[in-house]
Amino acid sequence: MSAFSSRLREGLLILHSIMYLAYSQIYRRYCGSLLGLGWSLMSPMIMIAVYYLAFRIFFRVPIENFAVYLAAGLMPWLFVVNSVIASAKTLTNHRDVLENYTISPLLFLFSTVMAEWLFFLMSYVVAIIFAAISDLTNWTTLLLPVYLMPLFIFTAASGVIIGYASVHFRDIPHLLGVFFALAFWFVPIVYHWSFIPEGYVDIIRYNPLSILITPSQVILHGNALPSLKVFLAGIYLSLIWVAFALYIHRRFRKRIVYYL
Amino acid sequence: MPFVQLENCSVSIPERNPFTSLKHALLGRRNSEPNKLNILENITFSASSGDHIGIIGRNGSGKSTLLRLIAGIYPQSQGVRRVQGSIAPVLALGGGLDPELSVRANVRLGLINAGRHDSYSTELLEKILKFAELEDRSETPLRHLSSGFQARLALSLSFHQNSDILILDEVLATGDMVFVEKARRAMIDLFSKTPILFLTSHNETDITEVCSRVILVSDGQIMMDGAPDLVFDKYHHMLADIQ
Repeated sequence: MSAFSSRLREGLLILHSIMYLAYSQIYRRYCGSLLGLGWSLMSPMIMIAVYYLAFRIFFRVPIENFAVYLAAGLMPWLFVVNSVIASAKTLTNHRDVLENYTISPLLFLFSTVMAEWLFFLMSYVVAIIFAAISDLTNWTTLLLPVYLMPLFIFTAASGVIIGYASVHFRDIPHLLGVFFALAFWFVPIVYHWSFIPEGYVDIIRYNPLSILITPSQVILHGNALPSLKVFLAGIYLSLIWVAFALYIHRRFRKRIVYYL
Repeated sequence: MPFVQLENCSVSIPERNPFTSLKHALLGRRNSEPNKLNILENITFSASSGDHIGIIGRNGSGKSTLLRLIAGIYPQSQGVRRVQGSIAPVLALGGGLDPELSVRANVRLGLINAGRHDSYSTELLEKILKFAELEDRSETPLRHLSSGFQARLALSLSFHQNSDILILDEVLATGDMVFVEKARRAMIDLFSKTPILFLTSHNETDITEVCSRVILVSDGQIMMDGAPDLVFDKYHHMLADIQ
């Protein structure tokens, strides 16, 4: 067997293991519940309904097809938040395995993000159906998987960084809730770019989460392709974050077992 | 040819995190350098194909840490560790199995945790289930099995493997007499096929039956490495002195 095919086989096995661990997490979360996977759709849908009521009906935010706009921003946002918060506890939750086997911590961290990615895809498909009903889909919708890749890569890398950091700093899981509650208002999810006063635009524009979520909004709600600049910024950002995550993994991987 | 070589290896485990909170970390205020527990000191030995080694010592002497060092789970704080060959550590039966998942799904999960996902096949699954006598209950959630059957599944997962280096920490069959005898035969069969074996046990007979060499560990150091009867002699004297 050539070195390439051997590496390919190894890569596929790792991917398969990640998918299986993700499946186990999904199954564990919903086994025995009446709605099962339906809960993963219910939660974002209720949030969209509440924000729609508050911002469109009460505050009369002037955004056409506001429900689709909300879905295009809120669902990727929830994917990031849920993945990072779940990653913060992943390694300590798998202490018994990491202390007794030589398995890589990355496998558990990636499977946590993968489980959230699968939830996200399920709810996102519903958002696409909504957009189609509102006549907001065209050929650009087909390119969504490409434009969502930086979001996935960035989140997976964030999961690794937060996963390792949380083992050392046990405050992190508690702080994340506060951090994301604040950060939500610095990403244009319930408001539009055009509402931001000029002096504050840059704060929102250079927010990494804005850069990663914008393509979803532009394609699904704007019915257009994001600018190349936004797309490349997302790629650079995610690659830099991957490099940092790899550094953290290589630096702390061996000794993490002592701190679990 | 598989081998294990440890040269002056020490393992120091920090007693606690260097930072007690994020506030300390952000302010750059480390707590005084955390105390390190020296669990193992200057461990030197080698094992090659055909070596079946028993590791003995009192509770807290460092046996399990030594096994984790050999397996590569604990990194050495100093010294050199060289290992060639596939390693199968069996340090805690049933670690990482999920009570909510079915028996079948847990077999797969157990193989992934042990880094043996590539060995998964329907044939292996059937062998594992058959040995544990769980063929008819493969879709039952693990939590619905008695603790005895859960232990059987974990034991069966550990026995059905082909590795160059097998590491067992106090892994003993429990359950009814028939199963214990069956597990014992399977264990001896597995040992005979394994080039290098490390086994810890407080039961002298378990070790003398299968090991050709015994290492006595005390206070994190190797006190003696040699033939089982000589090492056990030394161990008994040591215990008598303590008493």
